[in-house]
Amino acid sequence: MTQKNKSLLLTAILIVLATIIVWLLLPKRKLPLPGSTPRKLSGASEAVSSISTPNSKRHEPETRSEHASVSEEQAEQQKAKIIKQAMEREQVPLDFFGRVVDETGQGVAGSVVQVSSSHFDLLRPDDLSLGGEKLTVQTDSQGDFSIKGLRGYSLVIRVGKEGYFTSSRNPSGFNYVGDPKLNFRADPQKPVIFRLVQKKGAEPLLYHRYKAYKLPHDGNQLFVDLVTARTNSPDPDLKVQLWTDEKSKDSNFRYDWRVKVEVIDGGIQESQEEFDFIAPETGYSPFVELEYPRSLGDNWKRNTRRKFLLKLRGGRIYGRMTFGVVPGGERFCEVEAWLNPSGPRNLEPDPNLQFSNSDAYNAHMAKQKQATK
Amino acid sequence: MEIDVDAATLELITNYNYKVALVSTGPQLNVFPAYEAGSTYLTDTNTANHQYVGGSVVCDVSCYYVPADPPSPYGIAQDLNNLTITNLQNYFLFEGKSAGTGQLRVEIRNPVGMAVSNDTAKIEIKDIKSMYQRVVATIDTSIPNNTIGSWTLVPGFVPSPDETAHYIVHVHGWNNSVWQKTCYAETMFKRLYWQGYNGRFVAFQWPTYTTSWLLPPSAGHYNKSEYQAFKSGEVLADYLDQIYQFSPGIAVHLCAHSQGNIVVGEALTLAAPGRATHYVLTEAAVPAHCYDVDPTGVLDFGEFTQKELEDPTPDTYRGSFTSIETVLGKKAVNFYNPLDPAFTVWFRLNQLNFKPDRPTYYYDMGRAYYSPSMPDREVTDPFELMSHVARPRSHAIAVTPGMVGVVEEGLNLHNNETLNFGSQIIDHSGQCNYDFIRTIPFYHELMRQFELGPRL
Repeated sequence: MTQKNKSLLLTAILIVLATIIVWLLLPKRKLPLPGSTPRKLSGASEAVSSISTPNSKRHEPETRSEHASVSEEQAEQQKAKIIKQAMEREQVPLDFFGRVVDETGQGVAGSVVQVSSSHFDLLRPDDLSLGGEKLTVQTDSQGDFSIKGLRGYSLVIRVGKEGYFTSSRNPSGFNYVGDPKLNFRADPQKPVIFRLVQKKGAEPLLYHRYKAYKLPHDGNQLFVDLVTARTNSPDPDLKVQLWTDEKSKDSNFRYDWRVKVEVIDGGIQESQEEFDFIAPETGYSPFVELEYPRSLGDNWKRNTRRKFLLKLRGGRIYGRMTFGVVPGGERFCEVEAWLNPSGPRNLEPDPNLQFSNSDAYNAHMAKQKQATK
Repeated sequence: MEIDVDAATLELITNYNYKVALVSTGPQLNVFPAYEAGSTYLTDTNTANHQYVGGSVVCDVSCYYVPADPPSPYGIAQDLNNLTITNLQNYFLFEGKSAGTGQLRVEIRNPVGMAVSNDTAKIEIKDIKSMYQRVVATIDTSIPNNTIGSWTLVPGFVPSPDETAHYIVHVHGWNNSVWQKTCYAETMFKRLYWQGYNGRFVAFQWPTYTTSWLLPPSAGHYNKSEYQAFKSGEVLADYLDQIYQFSPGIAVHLCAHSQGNIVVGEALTLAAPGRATHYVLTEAAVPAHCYDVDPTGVLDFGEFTQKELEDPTPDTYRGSFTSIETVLGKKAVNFYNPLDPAFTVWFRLNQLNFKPDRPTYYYDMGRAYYSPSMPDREVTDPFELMSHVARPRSHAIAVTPGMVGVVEEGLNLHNNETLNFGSQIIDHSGQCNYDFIRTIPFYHELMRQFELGPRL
């Protein structure tokens, strides 16, 4: 081989090597990751895409070459990283403005506001009790309070004050992430209202936690003595009758049912109030009937639970009860009752002054009488 | 356990060094002084705090509590050879250390250790695992597959002779180890027992993926686990059918937690009418649209529908479980928590980021593909589509109040004053993670929705 030929061969080899190096160094397309900007569509694929998803924005078709080199294991690692980053982005400011008012609408100063914030603590996900902060603030002289400086994705807020009941209807959970239309947004001009109701003074009460009684479903009577919570009593207070017609089931599986609750020597009236602690003297009916015909449509219920005020034993005892009925399955009613056997219409509860049977109640009253003497 | 002594015996114990001993001829026991007679320690917070040594959280699953300092005498096990007897009536709680039957003998012993009088009672201690049924589903875990899995009964269950004609079948959720599946099932079983339930309790265990809590949230296998849940639904459907065929007249009440509701939803979609009588969804990891085709978009969740505009996926979930009402003969019932972070954060982020489940799945021109195979495999299996490609248009039913198609509102777990489930991870399974007293309303309402009268 001549020197000239050798030079030509060397040049050719160098050109081939350079071409290979340049090809190797060319940038490759990266894997598309969630959240990356979609690429523009070509005209042809746009037409097809618009048929399958008429409302979609332009979206470039993805191809095998973008995915093939990723193993399942690599994919899982990538996903873990992405989800962690997404969760970190969920940590938003949790500002909040609230006002605590009493039953007259006046602000309640010095109310205790317990705040729990939530966030994913990705450094310590093993500790289930972490992932948030707890703090307590007090309302100012106007009943107002505010929270600033917390970050996370939600707040839970509970308010209370010694000498007050807290309304169970108060809002308490506030999501700050997710659908913007549904999220909570703090507005200092529109503080969230929390309600408290002042305690007037509790009486010793007979209290029966939920007691369940099997009910015949053909109108046969069930008698309940609310003082003893027994059914085989010589002094029953309630007469309960249930009628069900499961054969009348329609295509939506609804059927006609009704229940009648009668107070034997007194009256009953339904209550919608949360704090119905003073039983009225008047306004009672001898009985109530709760009817659930199929014709109620979507308002038909498979069971019910309602609140009632009671005047029992010729007006010698006032009380209130939550009364529930399950007309299907084992068919039963449930009664949770607070009675004041001493006569006053005050039904305000105090867990320390509630007695589950007459003996304990009577013993307490005798002791109290003795102490008064 | 109540041990009564007469005044003369109490005098001997108090002043003459006589002792009261407890002897078991069968199972071994631990005995603790009871703060009060009866079972009020289970229902009254004050009594429970005295009994359980001061801890405010008694967690059945992780079994942690805060010991009081100094310790309460009610939390300290008794020396069985010298029980503390200070009254005419004395109350104790006991727990079994070993299973078995035998006699429990109370002996009054004189100072030299000789029994001068005794009384006996029968005792039977059972291993809880013999008191409820475990059903284990086995499935082909490859995706996709057309094989139907199978189920087996874990041996050791002995039905009670007093068992009523009811089955409560509980289905756990995602990311549960065998230990967690067992703990949750046993916690539910015990709490239902105290509500008066004396039918059969069945823990249906399916092969969800699990990971350690020490790792970041298990992004890698939630979607895969959803596929397993659909496949396990086929197995549950077969199990329900077997109950129907071989135990006629049994009322079957279903209760599922989180992703376990995919299992139940699919099972009821396949089942014939009458295979189950009630179904309660708890913290259900299922898009609300599965239960309601929602033609007017009332259930649309803005973040998801917005994402569809830029990154479309098929609308496969919609209406997929609407036939469950026909099987039950009534609507299912939803126990939900609008603050549950499993949905307000995790479920949302998964649907937004991993539908399609990139980088292994993609959706293009109305077709879905799995790319690691050679060539790309088109995805047509609806289970695979839902678990890996389709983004729901609605949020999870676990955070959706009100009537949703074939599901009616049951219990708001956050608004209930006693339950008060919040927005921490622990709240997602609060019915098992929180203490007995706090969770009473949950189990009470569960029984009520199953139309089972508590303590009739």
